Amino acid sequence: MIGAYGPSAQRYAQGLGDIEAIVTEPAYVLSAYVEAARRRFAGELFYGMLLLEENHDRVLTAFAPAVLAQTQDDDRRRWLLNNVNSEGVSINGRPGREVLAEPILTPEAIRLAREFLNLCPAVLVRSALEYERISAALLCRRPFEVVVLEPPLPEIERRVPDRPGVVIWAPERDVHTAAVHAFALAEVHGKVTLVSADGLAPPGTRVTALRAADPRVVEALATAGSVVLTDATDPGTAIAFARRGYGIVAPVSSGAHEFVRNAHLYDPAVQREVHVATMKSLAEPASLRALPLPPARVPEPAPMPVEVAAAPPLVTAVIPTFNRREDIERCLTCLGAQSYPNVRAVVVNDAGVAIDDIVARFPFARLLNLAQNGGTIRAVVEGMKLVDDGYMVFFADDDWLFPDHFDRLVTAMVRSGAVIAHSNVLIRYVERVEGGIVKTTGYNAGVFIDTAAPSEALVGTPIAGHGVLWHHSVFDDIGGWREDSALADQEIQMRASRRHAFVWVDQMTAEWRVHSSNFSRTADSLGEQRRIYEELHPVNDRPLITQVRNNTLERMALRPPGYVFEPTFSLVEPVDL
Amino acid sequence: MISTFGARAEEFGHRLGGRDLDAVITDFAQISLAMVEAIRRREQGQSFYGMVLLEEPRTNAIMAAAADVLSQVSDPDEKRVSLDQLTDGRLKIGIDQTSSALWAEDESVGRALREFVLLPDAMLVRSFTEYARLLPLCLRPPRVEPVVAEPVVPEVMRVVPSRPSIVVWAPDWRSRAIAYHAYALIEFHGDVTCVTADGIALESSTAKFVAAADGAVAEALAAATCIVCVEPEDPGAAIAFARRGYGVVAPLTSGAHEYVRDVVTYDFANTRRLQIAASTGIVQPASLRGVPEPPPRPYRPALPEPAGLPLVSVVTPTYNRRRDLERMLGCIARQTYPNLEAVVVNDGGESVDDIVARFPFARVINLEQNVGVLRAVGAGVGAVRGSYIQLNADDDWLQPDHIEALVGAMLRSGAAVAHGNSLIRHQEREPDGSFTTVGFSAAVFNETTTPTTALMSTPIAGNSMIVRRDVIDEIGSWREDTMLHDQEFHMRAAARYVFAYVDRMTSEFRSRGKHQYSNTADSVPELRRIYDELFPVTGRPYIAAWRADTLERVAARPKGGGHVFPPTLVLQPPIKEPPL
Repeated sequence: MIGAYGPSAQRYAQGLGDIEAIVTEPAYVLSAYVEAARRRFAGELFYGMLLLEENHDRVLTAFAPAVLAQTQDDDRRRWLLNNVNSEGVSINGRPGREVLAEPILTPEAIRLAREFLNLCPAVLVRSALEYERISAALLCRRPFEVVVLEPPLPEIERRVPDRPGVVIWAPERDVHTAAVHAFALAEVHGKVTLVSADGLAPPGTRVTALRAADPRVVEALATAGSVVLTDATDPGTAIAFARRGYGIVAPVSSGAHEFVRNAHLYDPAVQREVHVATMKSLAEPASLRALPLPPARVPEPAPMPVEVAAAPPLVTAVIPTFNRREDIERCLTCLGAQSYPNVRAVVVNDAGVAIDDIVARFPFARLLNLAQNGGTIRAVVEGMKLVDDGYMVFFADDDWLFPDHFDRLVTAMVRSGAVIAHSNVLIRYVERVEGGIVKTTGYNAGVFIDTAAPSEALVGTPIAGHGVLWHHSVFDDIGGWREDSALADQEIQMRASRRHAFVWVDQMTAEWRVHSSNFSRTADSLGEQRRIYEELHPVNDRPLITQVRNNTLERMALRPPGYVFEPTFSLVEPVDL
Repeated sequence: MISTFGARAEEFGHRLGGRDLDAVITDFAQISLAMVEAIRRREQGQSFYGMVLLEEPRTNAIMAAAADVLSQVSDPDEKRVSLDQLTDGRLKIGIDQTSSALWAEDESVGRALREFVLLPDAMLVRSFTEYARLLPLCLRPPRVEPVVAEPVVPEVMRVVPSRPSIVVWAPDWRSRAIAYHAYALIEFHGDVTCVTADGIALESSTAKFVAAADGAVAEALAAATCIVCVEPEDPGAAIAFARRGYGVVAPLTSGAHEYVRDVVTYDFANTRRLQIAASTGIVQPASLRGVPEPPPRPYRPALPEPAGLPLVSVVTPTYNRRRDLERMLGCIARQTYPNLEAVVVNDGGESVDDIVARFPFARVINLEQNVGVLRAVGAGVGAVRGSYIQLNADDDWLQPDHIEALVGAMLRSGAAVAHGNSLIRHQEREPDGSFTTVGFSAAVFNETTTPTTALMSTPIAGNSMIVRRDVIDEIGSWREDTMLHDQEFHMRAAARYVFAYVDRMTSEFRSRGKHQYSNTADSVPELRRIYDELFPVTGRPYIAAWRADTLERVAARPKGGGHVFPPTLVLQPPIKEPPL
């Protein structure tokens, strides 16, 4: 299924066919984000696609009509449209070069889009060039597949032209946004046809403008030698026309040259390049290279090695709980939904209300009832004593693992020989309402999306505790959780990181829930952090580490009490979980 | 055939091995030699690919400097910080320089590259990432074709690893060159084996170093799950290891991600990126998307309709240059275009009848007296039988595919005028009357014009254009009263016709220094006459200003002979013209 957000995304999605994807324009990325979180929650695999505009084209389509309106002197118009990317031309009082180099998205939009992509197992791009543009804009590199979509074209019977014919193909543009192309070809002594949404000729041009639906379009194409493409980000139309043997002129940003041999490229910021590329395309037709195969319906992870699939090692989840019957039930449900076949659970009831009836419903779970309430870590330690084999994960009763979590992590460990692996974790902000119902009020997909090198771990790690899978042998080596530390996760990661590689599955496979009623931790734990630094893991002769640790303590001291991480965005209408 | 220039090119050419591919492959430093070979091939009308093994400057500078940086700092954390400052350009070198100076562009080499790319039919690139690096160095986006050459890697039986183990794959580099990688991975809790050309261990690293020829390489590869590739520009090794199901880490600049699914890229932004890349590269085996098919040959488009091709007339005025004329007719004889005639106009000079008689497609018009080249052209144009006209001097040269490429372009597009690019060959006359080539310039006549820019001048060589006969009927022939007849004609034609532009080097223009019969600097009054009398422009202030600039520039050129355009490539030693 395809979720599409924004009009261009919806248009584009129509051609994608049978594929699992979320396609969005930057302006609609919030909705796409929520859907991506929902799909990951359900364990779905899907592609994300961000239709990001290209800045030269964006600025030019806004700037060209103003230039054409400002002066009647064609030579001046040409000069302006040739020199936008220089100091000499200014746009709204700023040098054109500066405006063209400006990032397209605001910092907030970049953050949202990056977090959206973090949620997606892989992304779809229309060219390697687009991948580069998006990755550079968002500072985020996801696995990707290239997808090629050729739009349908009218049936054309081409004839040998008796004079040069050029079609500017801009069915989605209008008199304003096609102005720069039409004007650039104003001096072509031949038949220039502009195919646009409104069929209006921009001022200062001599093009024949036709609406896309006009039957004369077919006639114009029949005698044209070249087609000038205007889409700055999608090479699909260039591919479709190249297949029919036309000369192809395309924006360099479209990536058409990756698929089309002899595509003639232009930068719309230099209108002369459009003219020159067109003259070249008249001389030489284009042809197609082999196109990439359509991407698989879903971005499947690499399969588990056969020797593991035959005898999958045991994974045990140790779950301390205290007086949260609904949560423990939900939590065991997510374990039951794991695609990994060999899972057990040890539920440690920290002397809270009885949950025997709940645990009994999950055959893979066993219950340890503690006689006395001793706190979360104490409960973990007790639970661990019942496990002496395979892999282990520790999490709170209100955490959540997506169905492919164990599958990915065990595969990663077996494949690499590592004894510790972790993945990325989404923060979900929730609120309890009456009747035990939990509502989602916001998300943050930008915190637990990284790993830590050993030196970095000496300061702190961006790894959520329940996103880590441990081989039981690690604890024989380094010992277990400290019962006396409020920052026990951080402390044990710091300890483990000194001796073992943390291999990293760069995929969002779990959730950490933050309740609005949570009492936290970080600011209140300044004293504990200092103890970890100074007493438990002192470093000597590493002045840079000491300095970064001091900075961290300073930053923590400035945080307001109860600070966790702010949600990236809050849902106006909370969603039922 | 593949010609290579430089050690890296030789290695790459070797890897392309048995492929049926015509290409000139060169290291950046050897580009001048490659250009001579490319010119030779163009003269013979060969269709071929060019390839410049561009070094990604920043990455290479970092690799070259890392070992020194590491040896000068002792604190391990500071080593890392120093490497990071090196990569982001902030590391202080000497008193007032920062490390960004290490990869600052060298302008002088750029020019040779710009001209080289104008000669081949298309440029081979190892990735579109490399193409993106090439683009800003070119006058225009060159045609492009991706090519992949995988290096040979040992075939090993892989075992399930008992602990994390990675191989840094650098068999063509000395250990010293990968000091950056070895240090970035120093905290990796697992086995790190660096395979280098010399296998010499580095003091700054705890990794194991193995020489590429050593048997221990196979052992390391058998146990490894992840390969860290170091080649900054070549995705070949990444592809080879992805084919074998390893996890692959490769520099972003190599473009490996274009071919390899799930490759983890690092970009030398800081050591951390590489360290992290290894910890995620190790969990996920890479796989291949698709590797591009070998490039096709020949590259150029074929003539649209083999039968019924129109007759093309080549008009050549000549005056007492028998030797040149014979060479000129020889190049017409070698044209691949099948239907042509040559009209030689002997402008009252010594007889050339015997020469012309040897070329069955040629005929001669003998003028009674010397009337000058302009009127001789007129006589020739008046006598043509073809429907397409090519005009050139007796000392010009047309590459064998010139007429085919231009007429093909005109037939395909319906254009009445087409032109290609022209190479300038700088020659000096020897005492025996022969000429020696001393240099070349490829970037002068390598552009097209628009009707507006043609009002100033055109960057189109007269001999690189073919016009349809009806153009002459419509706007008249070349003027007989101006030495700038080409320019004047282009100006007139551009006002009414599309110039279809074959962006290939299909002709040669010979610049003969002080023996040149014309010289632009002396032509200021003539240019002024064209501007003011023949093509006055009113109400276009921009054009008037540009014209004034042009006049000034032309007036500033040295007067009375000499090469108008200096050669870009100066030949040492010069090439003697071969005997006829």
